[in-house]
Amino acid sequence: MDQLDFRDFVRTHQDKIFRFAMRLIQREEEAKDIVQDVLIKIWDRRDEIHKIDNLDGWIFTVTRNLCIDRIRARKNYLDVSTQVQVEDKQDNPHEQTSKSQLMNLIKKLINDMPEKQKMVIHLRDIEGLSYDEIAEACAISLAQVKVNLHRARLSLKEKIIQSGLYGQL
Amino acid sequence: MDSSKENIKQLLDKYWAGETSLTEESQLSSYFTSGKVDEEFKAYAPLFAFFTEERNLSIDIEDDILAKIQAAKPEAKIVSFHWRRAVAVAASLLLVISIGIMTYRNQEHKKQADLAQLDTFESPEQALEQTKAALQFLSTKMNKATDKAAKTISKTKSLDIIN
Repeated sequence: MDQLDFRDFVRTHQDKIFRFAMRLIQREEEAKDIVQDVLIKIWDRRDEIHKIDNLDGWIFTVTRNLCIDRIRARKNYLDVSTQVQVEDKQDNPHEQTSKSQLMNLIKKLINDMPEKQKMVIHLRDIEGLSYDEIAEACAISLAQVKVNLHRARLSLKEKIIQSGLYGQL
Repeated sequence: MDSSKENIKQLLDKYWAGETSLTEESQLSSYFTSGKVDEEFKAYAPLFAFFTEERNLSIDIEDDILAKIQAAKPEAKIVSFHWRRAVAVAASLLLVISIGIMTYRNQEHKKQADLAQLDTFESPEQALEQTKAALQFLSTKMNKATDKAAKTISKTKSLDIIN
């Protein structure tokens, strides 16, 4: 892989790495740092990259690990400010339709899900990965993928109905 | 795509159960973002709208990352160059020192071997012969000396008599 190939690679992969990192750490600047770290890792290992069977799965795994490291590192002293930041993003009351309110609610619900459910629903419903690819990316079994996806979708359905917001659409 | 109420209901049930294929999921997505959603399912439209919106989330860090790897490149080259040079110098030194030590040891060994050759015999008989010869030689010399001494003494004695 030369620099031209790598530029193409960055172009086709940066968005999905960014989206996954955003889902897991929910901070734009940190997510961008993670994207850079992941891509530089790939550049450093460019000679052995062809040996990796499922490159997308591998990329998501690396992204997940880097996000987990960051979350662990900040957990002790930044828990409170993370909460505040998420709340702030919700509170933009002016000119909000109930549809975008519901979309914000969905975003919050997904972001607040247990880690496995959050990763699985993101990789399936946003990135369109197969169950096998998700299993590899999250380092869990196929059965775990199915169970977590089912739970995640069901909890979304229930919360959407409970919210009563859809009645105003 | 069959967007009858019955079909969508079935697809949705499969979707909540986590049993839809990727194709079926994209059918649902098209249906819910088409704007012609049945009243019964309207509640779920924001969910699929959210997924579609998230899919469009993008960044552009191509230039940043290319600049980063270009900045890192020469540094990596210099490092590897120094290493190679250091290894080459160390290898040459080692070679020269090894040759030096080997030559010195070879010469020392030769000297010792020569020295050892001087009074080393191949069989005990030979050694005995040599020893006997050496002792004989010593004994002859001693006898000569004794004779000389005896003569001198007798000469002295005869002088005493004259006096």
